[in-house]
Amino acid sequence: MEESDILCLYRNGERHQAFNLMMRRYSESLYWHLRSMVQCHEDADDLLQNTWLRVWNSLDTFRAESRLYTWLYRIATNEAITFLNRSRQRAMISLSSYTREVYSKIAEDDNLGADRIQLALQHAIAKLPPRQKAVFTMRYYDEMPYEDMAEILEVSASSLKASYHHAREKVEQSMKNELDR
Amino acid sequence: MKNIGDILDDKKMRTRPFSVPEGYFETVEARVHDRIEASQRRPSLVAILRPAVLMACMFLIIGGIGYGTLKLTGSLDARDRAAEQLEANLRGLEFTDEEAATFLETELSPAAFEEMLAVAYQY
Repeated sequence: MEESDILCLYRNGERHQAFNLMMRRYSESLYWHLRSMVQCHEDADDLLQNTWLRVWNSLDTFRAESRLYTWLYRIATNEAITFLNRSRQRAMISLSSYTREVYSKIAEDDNLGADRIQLALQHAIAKLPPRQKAVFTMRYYDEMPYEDMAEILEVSASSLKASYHHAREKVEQSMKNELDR
Repeated sequence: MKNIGDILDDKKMRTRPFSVPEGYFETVEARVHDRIEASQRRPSLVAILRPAVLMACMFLIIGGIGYGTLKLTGSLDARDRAAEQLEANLRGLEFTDEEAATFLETELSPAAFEEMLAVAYQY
């Protein structure tokens, strides 16, 4: 079913049905987007549920000025950025190392355990600031067009290109340092 | 080892390496609905009043501890005892009204003496 059909259903009063169709269509892609940013299943699951809760509560305000898909991604991305900022602040207050906490969460994934290069990449992503992490993961894993990213993050496509370039340089440098050790 | 840039461009690297619990995506819908239902449930009166009751209890406990401490250390009665002591001391002194007036007139400044008279005789 197309985005427009889902929205049409919603406007015709079939609120629950439209919402269920949205979840069926977008849950998986939103989950992977969140998972790339927070790198831990439990956190991604929590954020996915928060995202849908927020969508449910604000669907009435959706004016279809942007596409449904970019609106959903914007909500999910903001949830993830807020979560990452809070986690960093919490770690700072408790004087623990934020990156060490994330590294141990990454190591819990059976798929990653022995792959040194993949681990180095995930560690490098963990070190990026939240917004840059969003830019890097959307472009690197999803190959999302800059125009869509601009709509989601509400910044110009040209600044996103520069941001991705910087993020990639940081990732390369961090991986090099880790793999040379 | 290959250049890091080439490694990053490898198609395999651009696939997310994470695992997800089996059947996870089939459970998302139901769990989201549970969360929505829970968020829409109106809180009971007990739940609304609980913080206020807890705070009132806390104030009572703190007040009780404070009063008990003052009572035990005798701080509450100290002021009464001091007043009684002063009264007893004054009772022991014997002087006429004239002596008292002369004493006040010489000890106080003229303005303070006038003020005292104004208060005493309300003029």
